[in-house]
Amino acid sequence: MATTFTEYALNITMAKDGQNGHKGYNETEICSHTVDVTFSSNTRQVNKQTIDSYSQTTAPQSIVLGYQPEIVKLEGILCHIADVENLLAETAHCRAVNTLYNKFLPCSILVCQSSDVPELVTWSSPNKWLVDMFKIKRSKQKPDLILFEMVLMRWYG
Amino acid sequence: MVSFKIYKEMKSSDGKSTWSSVGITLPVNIEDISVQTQALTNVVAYGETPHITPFGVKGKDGRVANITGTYKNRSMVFVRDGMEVISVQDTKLSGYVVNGMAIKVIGDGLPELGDALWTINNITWDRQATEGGMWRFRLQLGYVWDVTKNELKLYEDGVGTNVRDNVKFFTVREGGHQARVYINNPKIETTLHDLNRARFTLPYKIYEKEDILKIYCDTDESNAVFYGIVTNVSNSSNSAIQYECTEIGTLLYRKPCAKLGAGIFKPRIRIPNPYKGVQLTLQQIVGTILKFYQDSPIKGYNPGPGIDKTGKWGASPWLPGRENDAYLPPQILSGYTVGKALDNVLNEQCGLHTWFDNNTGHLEYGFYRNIVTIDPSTEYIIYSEQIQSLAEEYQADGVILMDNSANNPTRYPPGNNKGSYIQYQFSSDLTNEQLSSIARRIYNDIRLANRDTFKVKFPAGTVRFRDGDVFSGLGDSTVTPRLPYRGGVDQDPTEDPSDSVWQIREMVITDTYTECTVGSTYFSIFDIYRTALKRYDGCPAPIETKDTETNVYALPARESTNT
Repeated sequence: MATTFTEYALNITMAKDGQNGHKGYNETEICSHTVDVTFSSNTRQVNKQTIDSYSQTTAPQSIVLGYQPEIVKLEGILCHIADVENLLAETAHCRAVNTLYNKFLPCSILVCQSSDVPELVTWSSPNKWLVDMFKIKRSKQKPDLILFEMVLMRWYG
Repeated sequence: MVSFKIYKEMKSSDGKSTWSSVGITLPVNIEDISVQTQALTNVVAYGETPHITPFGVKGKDGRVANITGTYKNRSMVFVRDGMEVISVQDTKLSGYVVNGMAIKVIGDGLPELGDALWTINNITWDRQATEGGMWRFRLQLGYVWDVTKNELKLYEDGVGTNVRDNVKFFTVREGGHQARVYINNPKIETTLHDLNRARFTLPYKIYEKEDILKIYCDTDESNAVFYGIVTNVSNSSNSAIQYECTEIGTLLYRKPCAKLGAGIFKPRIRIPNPYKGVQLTLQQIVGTILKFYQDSPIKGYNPGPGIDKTGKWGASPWLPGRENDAYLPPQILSGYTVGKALDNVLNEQCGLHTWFDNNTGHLEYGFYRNIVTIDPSTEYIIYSEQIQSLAEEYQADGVILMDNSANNPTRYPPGNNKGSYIQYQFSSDLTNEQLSSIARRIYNDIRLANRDTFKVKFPAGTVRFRDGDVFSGLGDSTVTPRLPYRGGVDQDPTEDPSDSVWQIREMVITDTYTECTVGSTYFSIFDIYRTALKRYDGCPAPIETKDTETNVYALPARESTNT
């Protein structure tokens, strides 16, 4: 399932609107990525307060206080070991340390442009995701393939 | 097969690390590798949409690598005592790889680790007979961040480029042995309304009560962060010695405003105003009070002449903000200490704040201390949150104020008995005119919108700010509710209560963060009478008299004491 993201850096500034001392976001488009996703899972969770019940006839009650960020976990193939140089060339212009573990930067914002993973694209605006965790891995079972895991939190900001 | 270059950590005196190469490992075979980077965020899961604050990468486990490898070249018999599995060739210091060392991949056989340096957090290994006695080891590695590179691009270039996540503080004692002593768990709490306090621990006892200390941060060794006197020495919960200190100005509270002459005690002390037909200035009154202390100072401490930070009211005979309206009143100092007398004049009568300079100990007074401008390279905002809205929970249509005896409730606006009311009590007796005046001021002050208070967290080592400073510009649009940007020029609360700057009202300085509580510079009636003025809800009972003796329970009447 080929998935294409556009990456934005939050670029937190201390001079928002030209005002020194004013913290704000200055989202800047950095680059785009296309990866092969082989697994996805979606978690949506409410934040609720449960009220104890000491009765046998009354069920415990709860109050929904709010919502946890929607979380999508992706797994897939980052690249073949022979293609590492080509993969890194895609981010050479925008990475201070251009390595595999920096293919996706934590706390960067991804906008899904196209994907066969419906939960990444079907939700209405804002269709933005914050990179919460990024992991690359290789094992002796498939020593030629560099795999990845990524946890995304929907970004509401 | 991959070889690693081995490095040993060298700690310099400033706490920073450098890495020195000590050798190269024999080639090893890598079976599994993973590199994981975990973001650090704060999630507030309330309301329709959660709010996420991204901070970067999580502490020491933010980026870790796990490697499983095998090592065939050596069998157990060739390994020396200690059974270390990864030996180092060409060794200078140690023949074995141990926890705390760092490794870097030689060549491009393991692109997952890149060119970075990785510290070894943990090594485990085993041998299996079924695999020919082959060593299998697991390495848990931690990433060594290069602080010179904006690797995460979370902050824009130039923000937080030279920031350490922890700093060291040291103390220097005045008089006697003056060597630096690096302290643990420092916590310096400063406030606009009281003397500053400091706490720290040491594994041994070196200071005694009454010792005078200055505390410095190693990011600025020429300006003290705290200047005070040790007030308590005790064992903390972990058996370390805990020291508690109070700001140097506390010595002014040990000296009475009285002249103790040879056998003659003169308790009644008064500063007449006008004096010989001339109205005294604020500076003259402050100087007169300070002289009670300076005639016989304690421990050699000199508070100086009193520095006027307003640049105006010190040389004025008028009450601040009441030019051509009200002169400074005469001062009755009997029974006051010097410190309390200064509080009385500067704080309660003039509405000014007082501070003591951390280097000289000199007394300063004013509405604000210094104007500070954020340097984003070191003083960026990590996080901010609204902690308190000082506004009352509703905007009352009227105010009722009564004094201590509750005999004389005064309404403002007078005569209006409609709408909602809010009721306060003043803790001492006041005249009708005073009650009316204060009630009017309360009525106006509870209508001000700029009374919210925020906590703003800065990185470790942010020790340039002082309580009372105002920011030339400060705001945070990344949190909910927002810290509104204020970058105005109106710092003087006497000019306009709708001030346009953030003032530091409290600070907490530790070795891992600095937290400022910022609020309005406006000196409201609640600031002036912060201990005397209380919300009061109930029947304003009159004073009981001797003819109330009765066995019948009755509510006291408002106008009459007869039951």
